[in-house]
Amino acid sequence: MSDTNDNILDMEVIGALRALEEDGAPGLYDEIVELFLMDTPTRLQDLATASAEGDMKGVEAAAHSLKGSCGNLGATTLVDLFRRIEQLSREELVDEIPNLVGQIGPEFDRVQAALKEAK
Amino acid sequence: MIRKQFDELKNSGRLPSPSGIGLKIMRMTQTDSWDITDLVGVVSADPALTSRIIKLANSAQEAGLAAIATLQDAAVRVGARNVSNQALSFSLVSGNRSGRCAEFDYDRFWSLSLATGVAAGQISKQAGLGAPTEAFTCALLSKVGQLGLASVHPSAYSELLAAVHEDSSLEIASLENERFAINSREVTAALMEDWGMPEYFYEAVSYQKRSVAGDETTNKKTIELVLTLRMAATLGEFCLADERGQVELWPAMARVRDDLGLDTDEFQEFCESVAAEWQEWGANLSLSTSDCAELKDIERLAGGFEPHDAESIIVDGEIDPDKFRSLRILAVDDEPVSLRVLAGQLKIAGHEVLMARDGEEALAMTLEHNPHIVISDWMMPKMDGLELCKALRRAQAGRSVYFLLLTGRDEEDRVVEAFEGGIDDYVAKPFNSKILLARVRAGLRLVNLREQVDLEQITQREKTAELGVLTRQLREAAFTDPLTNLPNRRFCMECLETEWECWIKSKQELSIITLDIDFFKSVNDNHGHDVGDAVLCATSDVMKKVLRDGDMVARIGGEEFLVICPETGTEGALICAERIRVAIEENVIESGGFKSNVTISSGVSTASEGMEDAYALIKASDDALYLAKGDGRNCVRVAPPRDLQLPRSA
Repeated sequence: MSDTNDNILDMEVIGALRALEEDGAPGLYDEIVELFLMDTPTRLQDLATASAEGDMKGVEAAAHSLKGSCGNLGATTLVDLFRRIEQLSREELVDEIPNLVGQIGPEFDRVQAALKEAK
Repeated sequence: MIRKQFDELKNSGRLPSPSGIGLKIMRMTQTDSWDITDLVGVVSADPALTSRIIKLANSAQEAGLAAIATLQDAAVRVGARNVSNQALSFSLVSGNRSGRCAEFDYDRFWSLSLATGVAAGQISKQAGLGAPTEAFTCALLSKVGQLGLASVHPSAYSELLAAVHEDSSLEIASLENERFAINSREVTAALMEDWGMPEYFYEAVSYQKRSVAGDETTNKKTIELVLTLRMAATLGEFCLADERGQVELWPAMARVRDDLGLDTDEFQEFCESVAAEWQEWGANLSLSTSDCAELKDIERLAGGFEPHDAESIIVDGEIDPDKFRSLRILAVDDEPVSLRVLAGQLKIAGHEVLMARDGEEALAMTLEHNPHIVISDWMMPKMDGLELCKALRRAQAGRSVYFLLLTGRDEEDRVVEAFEGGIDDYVAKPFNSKILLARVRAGLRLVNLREQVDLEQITQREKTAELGVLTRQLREAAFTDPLTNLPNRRFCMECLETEWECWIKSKQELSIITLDIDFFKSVNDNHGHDVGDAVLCATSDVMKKVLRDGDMVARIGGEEFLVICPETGTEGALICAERIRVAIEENVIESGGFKSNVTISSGVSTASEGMEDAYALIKASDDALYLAKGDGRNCVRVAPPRDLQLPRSA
């Protein structure tokens, strides 16, 4: 179980956030995780909608911002997924996108669980 | 308008007011029939007050003169009116030490007022500006309007202060105006007037925030007091500031030093002497001064910073570009998690952080809060980071802000375009916190250098400003009604007094006309104050056009005007008044949805034997105006000869 967790979350990034807390921002980690868990589902919904409508600009924007927020929490697999989606949408390679979008849901669930465990 | 707002405050019955002996003195001095003996009689009932006044008189007088030992001597030396003002202000200090406004620090307020008063006395003495004891008294009360607002509106003022404590970029005077339609400086001036303080006291308080400069002929007393108050305010703040505050105040202190014409050593001595007298007075009045500034801080700052002092940023008026300081940074990202992480990192590094969620919001916040550095994500909906930067560079206010752009790995090949758009630096995401903060510190260096340039420019501008221009501005502001640009009541009364003296001497005839716009209140009520203002302006313009050379019109009240016609008898004034009446009736005013003419009623009076003074002349024209209103308005009436005005016996 811990093996898979390592792949889901980059513990170095989590450690750096924890270090910020010790440097004088108590509660920052929890706050950021909470923000992430609250904000991400809406953005995933935006991405799914844009993808279903074939709105490539919308897909690109949503994937870009999801890439950023996942990067902040070291969710490397998700970051890679979103980076590929962003590239594909920029190049308008529409066909491959739904497959990748389909992989997001289960991966997000794993990240969510890992983040809660890392608390 | 201000008067009206102030009267409302006054009617609340909660404004600070002198009590006990202070109240007795105020009542006595308002009767006009009192002398030194009366004053000494009242004041000497309070030994503490007596000793304070003697102390103040001694501290202000030139060395070498015999020490003042009695109240009588003090009153003779500095003037009875001056002593009564001192007694009044000391009684205010004693009687208003606490209150219900939670955020208002009453102890600090009086401690600061005292420091400002002491500084003003010493500045006045050092620079030969006016009378030291008067400067002391005026400066001691120069912020009393804050106490006034805190007393009348304890909870609202508390909220306002809390907002300012939270966000130091807020300007307290504009918040006060917004909330109370009057600001504390205006309340101070009105209170002083109400307490019977000299007119130049409250004039000086009103002009304290404007630029003025010395002048040989006009309003010398006022201008000197303004300069004294301004310098004293800086010194007073400095006395109470903590170390960081003192650092921030240092450029202003250096200007005071230059204005006083002292070198650094002399200025250090001067500051020490102010601080010592302040502490002495604090003990005398049981006000805390001990936990505020320490003398050694003043010495150190006045003497210049030690180079090894880790916290010093500004050395003798110059900003050291390499020293760390807390910056105001605006962080911009549409993605909340990244924004929160970025803000967290900056805050831990000791910076003040503002946050915006898109380019448009960031643009507004930059212009409003004037941050030192903007750190923005590039890709954002609506206005992206680079567009934000370009927009800022087009605006005067955004030209000097340091702009740091955050780029994704994929965007790095486009950074050349970003630099061309005006960014100062970029950091690629995901970034290491240490690298970001190092880039911010590099930006800090440039920010410091830019501020140094600004500071030098400001000093340069101040030095080269023409004194004559400033003096004229001051005169105009003091004597002009800002809405209509007509002379105001104060100026009008001065002119009328002069004309009255002329009449007494030469017996050349003198007439005046009082005019009042008919049903003006209903214009305001039905069309709003904007239209009301437009009507006042249009009416003023017509009057200016039809007046003869040598006549003068002034706005002396809401919709009330007064025309002075020198060397003119009743016949001539009547013709003049009728010409104005017709011109105004014929002039159609258009403003908003309002399209109509207005009419005026006028009363004419002519100076005659048996009139006691200029006020009797005004009274007569007011009576005539009253007749005109009674006769159906839109007409001119002449004041009946004086003997017919006597009331009939019942």
